[in-house]
Amino acid sequence: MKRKEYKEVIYEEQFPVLTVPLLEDNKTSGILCYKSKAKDMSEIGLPIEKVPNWQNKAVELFGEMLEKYKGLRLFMDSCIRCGSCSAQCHYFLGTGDPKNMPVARQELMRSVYRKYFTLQGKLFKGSKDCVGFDDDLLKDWFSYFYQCSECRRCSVFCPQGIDTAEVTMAAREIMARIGVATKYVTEVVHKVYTTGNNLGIWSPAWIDNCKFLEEEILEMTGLEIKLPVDAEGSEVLLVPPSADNFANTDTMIGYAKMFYAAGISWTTSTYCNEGGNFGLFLDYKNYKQINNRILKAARDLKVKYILWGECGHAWRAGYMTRTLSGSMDFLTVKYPKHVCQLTDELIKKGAFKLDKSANDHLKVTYHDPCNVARATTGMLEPPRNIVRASCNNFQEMHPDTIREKTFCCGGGGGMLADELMPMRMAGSKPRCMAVKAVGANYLATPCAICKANFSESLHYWDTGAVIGGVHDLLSNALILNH
Amino acid sequence: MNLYGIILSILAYLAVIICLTGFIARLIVYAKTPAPLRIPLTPAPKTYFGAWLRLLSAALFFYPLLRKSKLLWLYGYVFHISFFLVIMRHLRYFFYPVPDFIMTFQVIGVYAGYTLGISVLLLFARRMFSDRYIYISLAEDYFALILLLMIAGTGLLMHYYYRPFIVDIKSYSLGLTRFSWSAPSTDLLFIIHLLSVMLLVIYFPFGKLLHSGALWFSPTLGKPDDISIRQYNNPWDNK
Repeated sequence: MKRKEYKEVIYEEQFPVLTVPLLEDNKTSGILCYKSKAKDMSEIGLPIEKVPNWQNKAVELFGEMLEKYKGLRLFMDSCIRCGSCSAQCHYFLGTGDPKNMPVARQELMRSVYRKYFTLQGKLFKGSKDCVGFDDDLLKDWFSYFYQCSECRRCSVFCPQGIDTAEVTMAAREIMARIGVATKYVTEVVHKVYTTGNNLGIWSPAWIDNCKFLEEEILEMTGLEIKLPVDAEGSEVLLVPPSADNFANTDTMIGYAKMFYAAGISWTTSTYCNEGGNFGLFLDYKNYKQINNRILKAARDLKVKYILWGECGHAWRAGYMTRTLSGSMDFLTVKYPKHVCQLTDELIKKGAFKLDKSANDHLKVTYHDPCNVARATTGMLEPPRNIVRASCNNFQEMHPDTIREKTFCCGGGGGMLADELMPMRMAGSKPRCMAVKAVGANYLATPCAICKANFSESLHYWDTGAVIGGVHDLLSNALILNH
Repeated sequence: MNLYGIILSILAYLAVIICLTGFIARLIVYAKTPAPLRIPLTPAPKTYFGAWLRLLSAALFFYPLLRKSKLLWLYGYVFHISFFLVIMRHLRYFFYPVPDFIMTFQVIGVYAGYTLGISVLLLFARRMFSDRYIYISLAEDYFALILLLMIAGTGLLMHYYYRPFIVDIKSYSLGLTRFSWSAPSTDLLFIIHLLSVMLLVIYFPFGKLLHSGALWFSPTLGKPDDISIRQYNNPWDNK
């Protein structure tokens, strides 16, 4: 197909740099995740390799998914291909591969739907719009459904409210159950069952890290602030992303200082020291099993309530807790609550003494993680309030790139694997350009995956900013009583 | 009454029956499919009333389209409004005497015929002029647009140039509602017009036009964010 040169500017005012790319067929079809290992697959209850006669099994599973999820059922029928979403995906904007347009990504699944589940498929057998399961299609599914971070940005622009994340999740579940999954996601899910967290930190190491952070705090503040582990009868069970214990330690210190200043007793659990739920990127069964651990940990430790830490997909899965894992009525807060919500409430009550000038060396902007801002609860204000209360120099990015229209960091949805680095950097482009345009040197965000991806991509796109948590800022500004 | 009249009458009933049963069957499938995990879109209303209002505003004003492309919104909106007005104008063929409220659509319905034709042409053109839209457009999209273009075109031509004998047409359409069949005009334009409409009606429950029904069940636009006050259980996973 011959294509015309054209330039379409997405953001007129501040973003002459970000244009809709020209289409390049199959540009990223070769950027693939590593295949899952047999050991991980068998441990998490999935077929260790592609099952024999997988086409029939896949059709059967597709039918099952259609019966289980209203979203999928509707979205298969209701797309009018208006193209409103076509230039909204950060992976498309970063790569120009047409199959990364949300509508084209959905078409990969919808064409199969037409073939097996509609009259069209029966009438027009040879049509290229009705495609059966074959090796080429499975390869495309494996490429492009693992090049979607399930961030739901496209759904905001869809007149029908079609959510590509639902389509991606269904496609991944079908693939997983015929034995096709990625090494990264299955490995992480397996690690959660063996060590309690995604990073595979064993309990002694977790406890040791907490001790180390206590020493850090003592050095910085001269105060003995504890990071309790497995402390039965605490008021709060904090379910942080395990990266906070290991990589984003300033955020962990932030929680500890916040709880100390507020006088709330808290604990982490070595059985469940991870909120991040990679089952969300794989299949319902693991999604549920991983989430169940949180309520079990809360029961075992006899806490009053649970707080989810600064993690995007942890919050998305956490939001579903009552449906996935049953009633939370045994707690005093009977629904999922985020640590930013608590901190925001406490700030409003005047529970903290804050010295904003402690962050004066920073020009802060706030990145809404897709799963915190857009998936489910839409937590837009609490983290912003914390940032505003903790620093003087806060500036929002372009209105088309924040709040419900926020861009994904590029590494969400089980795409933080090293082999996907080209996709991660490309997908991060729209956000990094926005950071650059606002001239910030500190990008605050409450999500461990965002932090991990931005630590690479902010440098790659030469923004001059560093990434950090929301509680990091609070921690700097917090004045503690001796 | 001749064979021509009988065939067209039977076709008309058949089209309506296929459309209604197909569409209702589809709606029942939508309604019955569970939506276990809540996925309301941000900013999500907190109550069912709020969610219902949002759904209504999406249905009546296409507000998500306004977020990105004002032009696409305009084409789409003009198209839907025009189509509605044209249908209202045509209701007069099924009533005798014609109720007053249908009479109010007679003049505006003609202008709506123009805007219908123009908006369909524009909707067609935009699929031809941008790489992205060329890429995403399927045969089905062109089929629906061509069908609508034929309907609008023949309709306007019949209004201005080759007027068929209207009395026969009305006795045909009125006869359909009263089960006293009669043969309509045999003008080619009219036959094309009528058959295209029938094809559209039959196609309605089998393709993208289902978006009109699917929207009302949307778990993203039509559900509130109320998990903190309501316990939702998964009907297919009660362990």
